[in-house]
Amino acid sequence: MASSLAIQRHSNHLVEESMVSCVRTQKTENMSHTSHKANILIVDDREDKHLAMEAIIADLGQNIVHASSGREALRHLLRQEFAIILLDVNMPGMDGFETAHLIRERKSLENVPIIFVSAVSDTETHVSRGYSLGAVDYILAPIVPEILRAKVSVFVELFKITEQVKRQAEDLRFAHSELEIRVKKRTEELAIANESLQVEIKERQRAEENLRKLNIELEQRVSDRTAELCAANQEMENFTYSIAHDLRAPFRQIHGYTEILQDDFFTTMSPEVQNYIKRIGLKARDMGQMMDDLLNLYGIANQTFEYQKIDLSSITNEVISSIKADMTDRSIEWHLGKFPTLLCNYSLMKQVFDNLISNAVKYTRTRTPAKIEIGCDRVNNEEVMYVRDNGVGFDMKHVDRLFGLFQRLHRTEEFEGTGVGLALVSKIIRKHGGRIWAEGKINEGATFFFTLGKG
Amino acid sequence: MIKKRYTAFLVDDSEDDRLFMQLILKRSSKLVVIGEARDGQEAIDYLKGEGVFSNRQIYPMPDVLLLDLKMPGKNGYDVLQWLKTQSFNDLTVVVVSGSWLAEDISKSLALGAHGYFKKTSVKEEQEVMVHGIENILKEHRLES
Repeated sequence: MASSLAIQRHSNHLVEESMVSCVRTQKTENMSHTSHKANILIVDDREDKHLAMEAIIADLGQNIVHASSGREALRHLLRQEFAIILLDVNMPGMDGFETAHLIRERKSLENVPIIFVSAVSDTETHVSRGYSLGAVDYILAPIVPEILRAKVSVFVELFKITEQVKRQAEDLRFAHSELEIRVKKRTEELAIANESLQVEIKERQRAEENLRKLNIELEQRVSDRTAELCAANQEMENFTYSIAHDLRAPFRQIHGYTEILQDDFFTTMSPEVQNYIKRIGLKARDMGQMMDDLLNLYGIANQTFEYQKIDLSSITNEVISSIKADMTDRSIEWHLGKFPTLLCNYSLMKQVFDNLISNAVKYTRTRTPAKIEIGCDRVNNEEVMYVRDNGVGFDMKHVDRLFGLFQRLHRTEEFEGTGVGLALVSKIIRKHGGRIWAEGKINEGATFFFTLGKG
Repeated sequence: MIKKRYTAFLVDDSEDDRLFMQLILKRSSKLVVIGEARDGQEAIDYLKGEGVFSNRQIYPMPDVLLLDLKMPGKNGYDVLQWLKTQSFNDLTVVVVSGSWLAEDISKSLALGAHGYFKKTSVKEEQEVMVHGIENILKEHRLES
């Protein structure tokens, strides 16, 4: 107890010191940030003391309230907030301490600062009683004006600062709640925007899903249609095949009879009859040939062929020597290039070269010398085979008919042929996964190019 | 046993084709036609030597059978099948057909035909066929 008193007394002394220095540095006008007046309560039974104290603290510019008893003081305290209570210790009836005790009982008045005004002689006993009530200070009578003023202004300042802090806290709370409202509003707006965005996304997804389904449907339909077309195509080829098969025999037999007539009855026929019989025979033979070509053409479509790595030079050499043997009466300049080894079917490739080279031989019949060039170039990482001749050529206008079935660009009287050969060659090349195309100029010859696919 | 002349028996449902074959074989000094059948059953009956054909003086066994494939009733394949069940070791069988399908060729040879030729109206090709038949006969007889 004695040590706490000593501390309180020591800090009181320090407060006194700092208060005096505060007053010295501060002008009385420069009281606080607000013009709001603080309430000061003076509690004393003697009027003269009221007047004296008021006079001292009047120029602090605050609101002074007088109470002449403890009870009156309490009444004031319950009505307003006070920054400081100047409480006379010696009062008849309820003294200062009892009043302070009563004040402190009220929860709202627990911390209101109290300065006891006490006579010097009562110091020892009063101090201990007073300080135990908390938030108190002492001023001794006779009152030193500077000290009173200094102490009061400290508590007034404290009060005002506290009020300001409370106000700022209130402002902050208000601003905070304002902000919260705005945040809430913004959050709601965002939620709405988000919702509508979600709806849009769902719509978008639905549309995408629909599109995907439509695509799948479409692909299915395309694939179905392709299968239908393939089947129809196959059916047509089968039909053509069986017709060709059935028609071949009669044409062979017609030709057979014209041969017999020409062999055994030639001399009995007039020149006209001889001529007509010869023509019948030729036509029948052509038809037979066409049937054979068709059968060959549609026959390969159905068969599966073995592919091997074959040196194409061996095929070209074979074909050329066999053709050379058949036509000893022609003068042909052969230019043979180098050929690669590629994955292909031997007999089919032989048909390709045989057909293309035979064509070159046929269509250069009017040339002396006929020049036939067979070679292979590497173009764009591909092996491109070609057969070139200096024959009658063809009009590029009709190039797309070249590989069509029964399409011929020359009259049969000029050059025989059924118009199946190139269709067959084209089919074989395509079966190998390759491409075939041609370039030509009338009377300047033609070149047939082809590639074999990856196999 | 190698002969100077061999007898041939034609089997074909087409009268025209039988006629052509006769004329073609006339050009060969080594082949002579001794009989014809219009379908597989007639051929089998002849070769069996049953009924009227039992008289081998009038209806001798041929050296070579020239067999068409596509015939109504019993066709060329049926005849070949039947021949497998018999043991006519001296009988040479050559298929002469309008078809040039690989499957027909391989099936015929697998069923025991000694040769296969495509019917043709082209004289050069007919010559090749005749020589071919003569050679096949010679080889077959050499083996046996």
